[in-house]
Amino acid sequence: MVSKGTAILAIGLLGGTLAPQPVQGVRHITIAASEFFDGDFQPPEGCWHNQYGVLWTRTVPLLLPEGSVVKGIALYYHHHEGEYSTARLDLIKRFHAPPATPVATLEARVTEEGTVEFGLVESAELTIPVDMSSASYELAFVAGTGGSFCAIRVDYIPPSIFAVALPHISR
Amino acid sequence: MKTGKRVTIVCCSLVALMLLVASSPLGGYARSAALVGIQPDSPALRHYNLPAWGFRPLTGGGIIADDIAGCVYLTPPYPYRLAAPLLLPEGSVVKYMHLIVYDAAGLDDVHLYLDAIPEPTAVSQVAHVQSLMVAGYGSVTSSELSVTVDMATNAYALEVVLAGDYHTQLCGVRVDYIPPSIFAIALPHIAR
Repeated sequence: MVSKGTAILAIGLLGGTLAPQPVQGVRHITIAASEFFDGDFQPPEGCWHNQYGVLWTRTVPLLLPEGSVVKGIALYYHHHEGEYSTARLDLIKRFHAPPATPVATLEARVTEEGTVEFGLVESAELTIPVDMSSASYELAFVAGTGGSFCAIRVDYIPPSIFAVALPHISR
Repeated sequence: MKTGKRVTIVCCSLVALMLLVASSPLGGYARSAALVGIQPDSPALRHYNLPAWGFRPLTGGGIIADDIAGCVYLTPPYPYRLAAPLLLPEGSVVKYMHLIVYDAAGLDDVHLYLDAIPEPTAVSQVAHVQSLMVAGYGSVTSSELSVTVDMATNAYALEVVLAGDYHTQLCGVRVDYIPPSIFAIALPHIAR
């Protein structure tokens, strides 16, 4: 098992070769695999390796500034030589309107399957406004057997400075 | 008047206006007192909507999640306590907390606390809301709060106490807050 620091270092290495193309106005949040999983990291990559032979799912909240627009999601992965596996990343929006049962909608999904060493799979361009007044957002990583999960990335456009700055003068 | 002078006057006026607003009560901690009476549906509020997945157990056994509804509960032993960090821009003012739960029988209460933690051995519960003990999915909103986020001296956490076993589940928490002013974000060195 490696430390979070090592995992974050691994993302830095990935970013050197698999960094997103700069797009005007788009910001990024990258989350290390160590935020999803506690153990079974494989040095030196700092990626979580599914060695259990069964499907694994891990979910974390996605908290972006309200009013942001999600433009894409991406999954960084790694395969050992000759290994074949699949994995996917889902962006889920969950509506809460009690007493109704919470409803989850799949907003975006990327899926990878292959045998390359380090890899990156990115969604097509998205336009998902972030509205947390009635819903929460989750990122779910689903790992097939084998393979390693290194990090995920969310591309978004933050709200304008005025959307952040001036709400208190409008009631 | 020459164009250059006009530009200089306009620029100086803008800087003076920025300083005036940044140093006004709306730019500092006095904002919390100036922002009393805001209703939960006010467009002035921003929202921090945390799904149950974001909580981790403090006590009890493992955490069990309902993949369909996204609600969670803890396995024995009792007590069942979960927590999640609350990370808001410094200078924000927390105005409301909403607790969303599932209670199969309507017999067990659920408590949500906003904890301010100045040091590891001290936890101050600065806000609290309790479920209504109604069967099914439900939500409850706190009374109006005025908690100014000061991360220089505190860490903040959302703490949930589930009274019952799997019959009572946490589905999510929403915190309504007013973000700091534009000047508190952009020019903290001149904000009071």
